[in-house]
Amino acid sequence: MPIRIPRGWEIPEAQVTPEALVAGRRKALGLGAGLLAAPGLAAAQGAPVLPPAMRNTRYVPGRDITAEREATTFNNYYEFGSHKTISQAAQRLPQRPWTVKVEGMVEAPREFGIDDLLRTMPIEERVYRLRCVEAWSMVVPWTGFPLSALLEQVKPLASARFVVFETAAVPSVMPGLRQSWYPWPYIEGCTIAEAGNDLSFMVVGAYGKPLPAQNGGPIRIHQPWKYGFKGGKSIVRITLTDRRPVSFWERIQPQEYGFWANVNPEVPHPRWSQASERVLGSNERIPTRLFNGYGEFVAGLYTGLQNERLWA
Amino acid sequence: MILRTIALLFFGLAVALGFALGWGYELGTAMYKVNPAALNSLQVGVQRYLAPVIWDGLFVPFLTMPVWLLPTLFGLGFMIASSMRPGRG
Repeated sequence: MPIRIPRGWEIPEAQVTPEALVAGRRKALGLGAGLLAAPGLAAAQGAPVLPPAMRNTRYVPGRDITAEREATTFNNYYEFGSHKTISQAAQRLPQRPWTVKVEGMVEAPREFGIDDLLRTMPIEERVYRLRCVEAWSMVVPWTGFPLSALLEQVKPLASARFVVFETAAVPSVMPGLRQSWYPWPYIEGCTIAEAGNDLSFMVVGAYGKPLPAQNGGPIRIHQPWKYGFKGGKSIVRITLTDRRPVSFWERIQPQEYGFWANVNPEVPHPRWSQASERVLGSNERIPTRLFNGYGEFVAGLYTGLQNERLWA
Repeated sequence: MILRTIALLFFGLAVALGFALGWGYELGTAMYKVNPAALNSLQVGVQRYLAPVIWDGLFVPFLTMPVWLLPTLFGLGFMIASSMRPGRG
């Protein structure tokens, strides 16, 4: 029986792209050429367009990327419910038009249109780990730009010490807002030093596509050394202030969710261990790492803050 | 007579709550003021471990009703009970 050794470029038949999809892609490429000829046309028609982005190889995930289907169908987004299957409901949140106000203690407060940000910001792709406070994690190729690049546009005053992120609150499409007793809108925040760290990333896409609403589209913040709830979704306002903000979860359950919320496997949540995490899409559990493995980039931010609750 | 008295007490409580908290003050808001974490845990438990529709279809309508309505409903219940037991109400 002859032994056939596959050549390097050969792939299994099951991985071959169906002909219909190839033909569809050619049509899409044709449409793309038209879009290049008329920049902004697609955006003007309401279809979000993500510019091409080079991958930043400085931040190595060290694990396989989570399947897109897993990352986009298992979501925390309380405005749509406290369960994980909110992805369909989130589609009702309009992604265009969308603006982000950046104001407060800045020299030049501005309101940015999302498509203007996509055109003017230094867009790149970064593969980050995301560690949820609920002890599961995923690895996602995010598209976006450093938060510092956005803040440079408004020139923060020297007196600004904190950055506050405010999530959209749209009662007509967000059933969670019927529970008026919660302190809506969802607020999160960080220090100006944390905001200036290169890891702080304004995310506008995932898996090479515009960021899905259920993941926080059209724009969210992701600071991968912190627990996931610190990453405000669908941001409409960023405020620079000299007052430490009290975030949404800190207001509801201050014993469990604090301002800093840096990942630390040694400090358990009051109701469960943080020593390990379930890899989303599998039953595998892996050890959790201090600062979610990003300590070399961020540990210096916390020098002299030993008296703070850095890990909750 | 006892059941009717209890009913009147509940009606009185409803009126007092209406004046004290406002006629649109929701039950969920009142519960949240007492213990924010408990209401959140209840929601998570129902939506994640039973079914989201139970929370949205049963709990939310219940929690968004005006707080004065709850003692009113209790009062009506006792009033009906008293009328079903003639001579002993």
